[in-house]
Amino acid sequence: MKISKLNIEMFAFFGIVSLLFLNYDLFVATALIYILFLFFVKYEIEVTTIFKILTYICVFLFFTVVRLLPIINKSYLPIWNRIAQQNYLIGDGYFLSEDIFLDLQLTLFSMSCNTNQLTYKIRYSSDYLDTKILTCPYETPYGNVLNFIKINENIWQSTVTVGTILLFLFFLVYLDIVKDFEGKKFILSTLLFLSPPINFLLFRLNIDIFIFFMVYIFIFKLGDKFFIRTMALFGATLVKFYTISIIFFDLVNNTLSKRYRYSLISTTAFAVSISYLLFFDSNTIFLDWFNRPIEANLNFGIFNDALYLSQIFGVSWLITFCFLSLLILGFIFIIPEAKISHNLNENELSIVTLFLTMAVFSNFDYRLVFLMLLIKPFLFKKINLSFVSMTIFMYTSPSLLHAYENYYKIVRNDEIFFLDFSFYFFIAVCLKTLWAKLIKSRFSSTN
Amino acid sequence: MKKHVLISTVLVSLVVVILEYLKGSCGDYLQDVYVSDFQIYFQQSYFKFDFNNLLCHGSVLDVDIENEVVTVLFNTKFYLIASQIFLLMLFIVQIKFVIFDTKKVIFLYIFLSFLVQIIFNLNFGINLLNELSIQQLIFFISIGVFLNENK
Repeated sequence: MKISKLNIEMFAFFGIVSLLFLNYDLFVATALIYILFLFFVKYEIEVTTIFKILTYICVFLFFTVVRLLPIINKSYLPIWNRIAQQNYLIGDGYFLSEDIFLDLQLTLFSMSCNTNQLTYKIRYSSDYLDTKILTCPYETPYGNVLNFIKINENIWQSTVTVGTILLFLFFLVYLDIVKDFEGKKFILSTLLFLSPPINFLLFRLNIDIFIFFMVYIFIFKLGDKFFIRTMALFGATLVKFYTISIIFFDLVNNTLSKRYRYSLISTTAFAVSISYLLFFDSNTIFLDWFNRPIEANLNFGIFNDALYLSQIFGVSWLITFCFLSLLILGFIFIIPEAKISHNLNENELSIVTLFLTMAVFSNFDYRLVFLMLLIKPFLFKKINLSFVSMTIFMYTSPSLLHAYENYYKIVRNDEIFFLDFSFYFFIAVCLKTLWAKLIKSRFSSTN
Repeated sequence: MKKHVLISTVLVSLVVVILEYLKGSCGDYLQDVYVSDFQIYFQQSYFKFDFNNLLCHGSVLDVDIENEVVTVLFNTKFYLIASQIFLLMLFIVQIKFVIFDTKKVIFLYIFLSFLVQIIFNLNFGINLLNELSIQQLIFFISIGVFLNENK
């Protein structure tokens, strides 16, 4: 009897997953406790085929169906609110429940301004938001290349169509990453896909999800075709500049590996990307987003924390930045090399580089979606420090503090600053990994 | 075993004494007066070696029913140091210089987090447990245990 294989851990898992649809804040808190339990128990948990299928169904419902229901009928809007964390919804303590795929709507409207000069009311279902009326010209803080893309479609219909495709594609990525895992690894990787930053991404459908798919397809699926890979990265860099860090990684890696032809391609792509950035004024506006403080409940970044700390202690941000760098150095010092993951290939190391580059500045939490591409190498053998630190960081971004309405009102006033140590610890893990794989291994092999 | 019982008794007594002192000297805390949907504002305190002021950190100064605002005595710097940086220091000292077994590490962090919360985290905060230190606690315990494993 297959049913007899279901044990108490699996029932607990399904209990927690059911909270996804009832109260996402409660899900995060209980999932975090369950994750800690999985980290510390020594025995393996058996995952049957039925259990896997049920999990896939729950994840599919969470990724797609419950997000599309309020679009079909606005009476389902309370479901949309239940699957959101409080901090996703802008407004001092006020719950703006209608922000459905907001970033996608804004991006599409911005591009429609390249064709027509019109106005647009943000929609959420059959209704409009009278308080949010957009008028052309409307610039989104993305690369200048978007000013040349012309669309002449109904924005709401395009949002729904594109949004639905993106949600389905993201579910396919989830399936592709978790399908080979068994037992605790399957449960943990699934829970990572249900973590707050991923929910935030699917909630807003920011253009970062396009970049994620580009990286996933052209690096992880077609990564052996170096020219195509570089062109895709260059394309992504035109939209959002941060993927230039992967081009830079390729440049360094190919030079160190003495693959000079590839190195030349990367150098050209890097140089053109920098020129593109400096040539268009609108790109500098987009770069401003990386170096200005964003509310702590929505983002991560050393520079952002340094700005907050400099305000609290009344010192230069440079001093607080140095203090935070020392904190990372301290963590690097205490992390034993044997306890971090060493199974990363060049593609995965490029994702580590991407994360480290983003970690220096200010970034919205949804950009942590790229860390999903590190699940496979981190879980290649047994659960290690790399995976533990990444999971805790993901589940505490934003902190649970921000999930509760009462505390949230304090944080919105920016009076409590939360220094997320798990973020700094994970940076240290990434730096140590990069050092061990990119520099130390070559140095010791040449000796 | 007897040693553990003795230590636990002393610690619990200490917590009870601190709680009683706070109740008697500092007035209400958020958990006593908080009304749902009220905004919370902080009045920055400047301690200047005033012990009472320091221990009353997080006590309610004013409740404005009309404007739905609660004002709380608070010092941002002190809060950051006490609730977060203190635990970090302890973590680094424990990892580098003291080798505990897992149970002792968990016990130590739980106790210290509770102590920090009682004194500095708005006296158990709005909910029963102030989540901020709990979150740091989760991080320090799990990383601490993994680092200590097979040391």
